[in-house]
Amino acid sequence: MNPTRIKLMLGGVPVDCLLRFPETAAWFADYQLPPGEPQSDPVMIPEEEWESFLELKLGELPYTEYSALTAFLSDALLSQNRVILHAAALRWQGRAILICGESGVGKSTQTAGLRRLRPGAFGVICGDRPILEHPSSWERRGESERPTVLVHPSPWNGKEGWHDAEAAPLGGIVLLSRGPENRIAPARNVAAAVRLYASFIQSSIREQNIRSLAELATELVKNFPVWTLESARVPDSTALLLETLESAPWPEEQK
Amino acid sequence: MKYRAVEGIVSTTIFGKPVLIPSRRAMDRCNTIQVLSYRWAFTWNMLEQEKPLELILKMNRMFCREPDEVILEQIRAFEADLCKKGFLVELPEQEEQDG
Repeated sequence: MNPTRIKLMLGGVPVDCLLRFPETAAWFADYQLPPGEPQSDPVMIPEEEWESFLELKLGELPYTEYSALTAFLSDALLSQNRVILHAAALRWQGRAILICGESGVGKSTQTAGLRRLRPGAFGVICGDRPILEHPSSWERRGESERPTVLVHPSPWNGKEGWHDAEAAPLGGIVLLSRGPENRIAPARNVAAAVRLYASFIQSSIREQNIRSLAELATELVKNFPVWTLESARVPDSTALLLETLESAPWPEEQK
Repeated sequence: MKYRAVEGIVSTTIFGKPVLIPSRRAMDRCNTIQVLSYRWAFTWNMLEQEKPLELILKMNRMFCREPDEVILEQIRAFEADLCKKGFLVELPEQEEQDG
């Protein structure tokens, strides 16, 4: 195997990455740094994780490599206070709204529905796996001050390919599931944190990373508005979500 | 039944509640591929530190999902596998009562 080296900028962090298949580089085209551009201490997939990556049976499919790299790059970015998560990241009134949920639960449907209900109001930062940049410390300087978490676009945009070029500060999180009726409720509890934890993409190789992500899920639920949205029917559930977002007491500085 | 985590299972907290989360090493040694798709379900299972069946039913109620025998069977098998391979140790009844 002759690996291909690519240099990327992910969530504002320079990353050095080796690819098994040269064709995989095409999926990262928008995020590749020009050849020869100086990089200061790029992040790399640690050796232990890289060995695990090489052990994965990817067949001869570059797409599989592109997809499988997410977990390993997410691990590598953790040292830079970033993590990749499985969510649709919307841009709305200058803030990012994350819609988290299992594959097939309707994240793209809700995204498309919101855009239809409010044409021009909702952008998409990343359709499938945005990068979350979080503070190294969650200590607040003032009671009302909320730590800043940024939501960055990434090369993993889902089948629709929705993404734009700029990050936005996190505003709130929606945990989406299917249900017998349309229902939305605030969720500031352990179940919400567990569901959020499960949306983080990771290789689960390093135990310290697992602890860090458990803490991150906890802090996000403590510091940001989180709702559980059960959807039985669209567009009614989308209208419910929109009504909730529009009536939420957002901090002024985020508008 | 409660479990004590041993090597390969990370003992930590989420939102102040103790959780046991399998590391890759534990998953690789067991029935990984089946379980990874239902990682959140398994995490919930470990969170409660109870037997899977009751947990999944609880989870199904919470997330309004229809109980799925296939998932139940997979998680049950994974949990049994974790115990068999020594990643999880069932606490004796007395210890369970103690805490």
